[in-house]
Amino acid sequence: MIKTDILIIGAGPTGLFAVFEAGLLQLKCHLIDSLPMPGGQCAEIYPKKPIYDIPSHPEILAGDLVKNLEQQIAPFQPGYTLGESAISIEKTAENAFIVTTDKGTQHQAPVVAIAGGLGTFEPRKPPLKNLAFFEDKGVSYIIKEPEMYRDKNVVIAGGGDSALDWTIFLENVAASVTLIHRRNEFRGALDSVEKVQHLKNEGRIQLITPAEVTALEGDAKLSSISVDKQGEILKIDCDHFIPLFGLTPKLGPIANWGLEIEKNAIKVDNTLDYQTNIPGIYAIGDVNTYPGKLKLILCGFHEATLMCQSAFKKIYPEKRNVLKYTTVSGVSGFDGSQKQAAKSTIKAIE
Amino acid sequence: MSQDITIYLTDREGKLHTLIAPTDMQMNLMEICKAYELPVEGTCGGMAMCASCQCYVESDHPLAERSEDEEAMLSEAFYV
Ligand SMILES: Cc1cc2nc3c(=O)[nH]c(=O)nc-3n(C[C@H](O)[C@H](O)[C@H](O)COP(=O)(O)OP(=O)(O)OC[C@H]3O[C@@H](n4cnc5c(N)ncnc54)[C@H](O)[C@@H]3O)c2cc1C
Repeated sequence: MIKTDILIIGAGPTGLFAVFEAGLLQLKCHLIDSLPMPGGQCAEIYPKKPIYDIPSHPEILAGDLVKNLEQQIAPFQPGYTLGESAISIEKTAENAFIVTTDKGTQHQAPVVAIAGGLGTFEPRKPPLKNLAFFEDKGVSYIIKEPEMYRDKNVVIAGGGDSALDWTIFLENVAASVTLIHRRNEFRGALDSVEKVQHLKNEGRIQLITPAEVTALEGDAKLSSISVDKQGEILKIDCDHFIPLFGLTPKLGPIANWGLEIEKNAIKVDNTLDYQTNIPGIYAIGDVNTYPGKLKLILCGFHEATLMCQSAFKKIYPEKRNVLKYTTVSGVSGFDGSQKQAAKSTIKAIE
Repeated sequence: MSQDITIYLTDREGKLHTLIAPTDMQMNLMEICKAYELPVEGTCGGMAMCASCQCYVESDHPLAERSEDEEAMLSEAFYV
């Protein structure tokens, strides 16, 4: 069981910054995120795009914002459970919460801060009949175990980087790779587009464009797919079909935790501390809602700061505490590191 | 003073909405729908990265050419 002071669900910008504010109050944090890396939307959707409304950064790439936050919080040694989704929460007799992930990892903390943004990122699934039936029987949306495809016939659909990258990778592993896309143009790194062109020219992959998969066939497992190529229907025998159409966020299991939900977001008390209707559970950043809510990074930072002050009082009801400026008190990391403003020199002039 | 535009919008349930769009706020169709709190997702905020704000323009107003990004996104969107 992982134990911490504040358990943060979601390692987007809001959750990451909460670690810093908690650290200033000597509170330890642990972050859970279903993505394999921290950064939330900034890392998953737009790492290479600029943001212009982060105070004091006239311009910063979303990916760099995440990198800076990770650097800023490093002294407070946050724990990470990455690549796992928080699916259930229960209360212990001692008023602590236990949060369990889809992989069974358990976390315990007196305070839980949900910083889940728009939710967990789930693969966008094409609207094909029987798709759900063939999941794990030939259809998959992420490639976890490339060896699974060794010497198999694989069909990939999609027009972005992941479709291109996996086509290139699996060409070396699978018996055959067919790439299907609705257009002739691909939106991906130039280098990958060129590599796929080369593989096609050499006859090492089959490229079918402009075309669309229209049906999945098979008895116990997938055995073929039908493809509509400008009105002509092709049937392709295959063992695996991998639709790669990106990810889309869904609020997911958190919606069933007994929290008040409005407009697909968690209602919080914004006059005070962003606590939900369940005392001890807070919701900060894009995942919450209150009158006047704005889904902006800078608002998430503010909410994280107030949440930490309230969490401190909840964890140490008797302990006095006062707001301190970092310029004055510096930053003392849990790793023993110290950051301190330089002292002014005082020297007599004789 | 700028002139407002009236937009008639039919939602998925077939309900008609009348939207008054100001012309000096640089809002696109997705944004004006959001401003009226209609349930468009528009997750990416209009960067042609998610295709969660589709609509069909039925009038014959001249529209800007689809950009490369828009073309690419639409080609990966479902139900279009
Ligand atoms: C294209 C685009 C451009 C944007 N531009 C700007 C801008 O210019 N300025 C601005 O201020 N904002 C901008 N935003 C919005 C900004 O990115 C969000 O406000 C911000 O990411 C919210 O941070 P967050 O930490 O609250 O949530 P998120 O970044 O959404 O992170 C939430 C994290 O929680 C995880 N999660 C959710 N549920 C679970 C669960 N059950 N278990 C485990 N993990 C879970 C998710 O995987 C995700 O990583 C933009 C957004 C997009 C998409």
